[in-house]
Amino acid sequence: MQGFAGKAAVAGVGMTTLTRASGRTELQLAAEAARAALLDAGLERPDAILSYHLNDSAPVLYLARELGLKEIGWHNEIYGGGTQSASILADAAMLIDAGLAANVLVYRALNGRSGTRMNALGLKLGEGTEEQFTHPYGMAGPVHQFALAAQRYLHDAGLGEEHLYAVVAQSRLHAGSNPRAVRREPLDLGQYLADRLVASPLRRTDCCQESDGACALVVTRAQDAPGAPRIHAVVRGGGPGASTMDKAPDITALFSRYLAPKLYDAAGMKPGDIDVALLYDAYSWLVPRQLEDFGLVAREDLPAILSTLSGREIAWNGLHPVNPHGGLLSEGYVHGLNNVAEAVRQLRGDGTNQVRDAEVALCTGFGGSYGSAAILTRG
Amino acid sequence: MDIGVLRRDGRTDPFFDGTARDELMIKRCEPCDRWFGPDATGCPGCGADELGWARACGDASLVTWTITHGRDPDDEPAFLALVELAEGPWLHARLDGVTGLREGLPLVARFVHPAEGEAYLLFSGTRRSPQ
Repeated sequence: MQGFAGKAAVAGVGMTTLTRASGRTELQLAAEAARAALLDAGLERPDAILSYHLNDSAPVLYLARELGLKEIGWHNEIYGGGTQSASILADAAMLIDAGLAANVLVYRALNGRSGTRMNALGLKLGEGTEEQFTHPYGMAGPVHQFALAAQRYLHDAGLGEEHLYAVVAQSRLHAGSNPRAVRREPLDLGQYLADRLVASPLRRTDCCQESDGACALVVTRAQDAPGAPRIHAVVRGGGPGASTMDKAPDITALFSRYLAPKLYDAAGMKPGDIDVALLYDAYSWLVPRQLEDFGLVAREDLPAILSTLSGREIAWNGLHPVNPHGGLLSEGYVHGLNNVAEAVRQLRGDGTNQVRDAEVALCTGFGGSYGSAAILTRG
Repeated sequence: MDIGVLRRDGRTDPFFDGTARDELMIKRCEPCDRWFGPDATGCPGCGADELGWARACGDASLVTWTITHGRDPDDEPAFLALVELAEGPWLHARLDGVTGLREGLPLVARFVHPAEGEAYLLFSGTRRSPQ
């Protein structure tokens, strides 16, 4: 067990409305989400503040001023995107376990649709590499990188477009009862197949909903919030794979191949203990890939689990509930932190499409072959 | 989709001198007998941080691919790929006129000399692969 296991709890969550054009600054978004999370936690002001960003957010000190903090305690900004959404829970829990703060406000705020979009994010392949060896040829961003890996993954796993459809269709069904979701309409197979291919095998519909908005969490000492979900285990790291594919033995490998065993080991748990999975679904194919890596569904069972006739297995009331709020594919994309917020709601019993008796939630976040994962437990 | 203008940056002169004479130059560690992509900066085998350049034969096989489509439906799709060179390294690449895409498809490097910028590399099918 990790030193902070069970000692920190998520006592509050807050989110702004998610839109395609907020018309507001990142600071305004951050402040609204932060105030909502503090209210939810019954806390006036935080001891410490942490955020993650890609030079596209509101600085921590600006938010502290906005919240009227007379003094600033421990505060930090972590440069990073989706890889941070689970591990920032550990960054907060470590501050609490070390006695540096009694509570920590965590936020991610971005105008991810109307401002800086992720689709042109650099691939960080190496100094000068993109300019001379990839970009001029048309390989411009994450969608191309993930499409190359997806093509090979579908081939290796015996999956096809109908299985990707099942993932997106289930996400939309979930989002249908989530007022926060930006896409709530059901999706039929004909509509899916008619959608424009961005980079085969990925259609527009296979990509998450880039959004403007903010999400905030309040992490506190567990004893101060008896009923709040506990941060039980968190891991971060990775190895060669989808984001370093020219150097990887298997280009379809994601963070989850490396981290799943470490997470279960740190948690003292096994795959069967997970009641609900909040998977980072930036692209549809990442759902079967993670289901497999986290031991929730064996590769040979994926085609049946994701068949259009029985795609209900990943529904909130199915065998392996995934993203009962609609996830990044339908609710919106606050760089994964909105999936963590839903994990908290599910463990409190006030989730969207509440999974019955949810006691253990898996949260993931990544940018390719490296990332992070966390297990939260009911308070 | 058009190919962008390529510029050398001082560390890649042998690569672009190679494309200018229709040769594929990549990195190589002689003591370890290992080949690397043109952007490699060191040998993970012996730790050497200086790698030499050596000519690759230009034969490759297809590892995976994606066909990208622009917003404008009149745009020609681009065929992007990851290829494995005969010497071992994998390269991000653009395919040209390749049909019957499948894992392992044999490919061969060819070179294009645009009016502006450095000569660049494309991979095409070989006589062994169906066109």
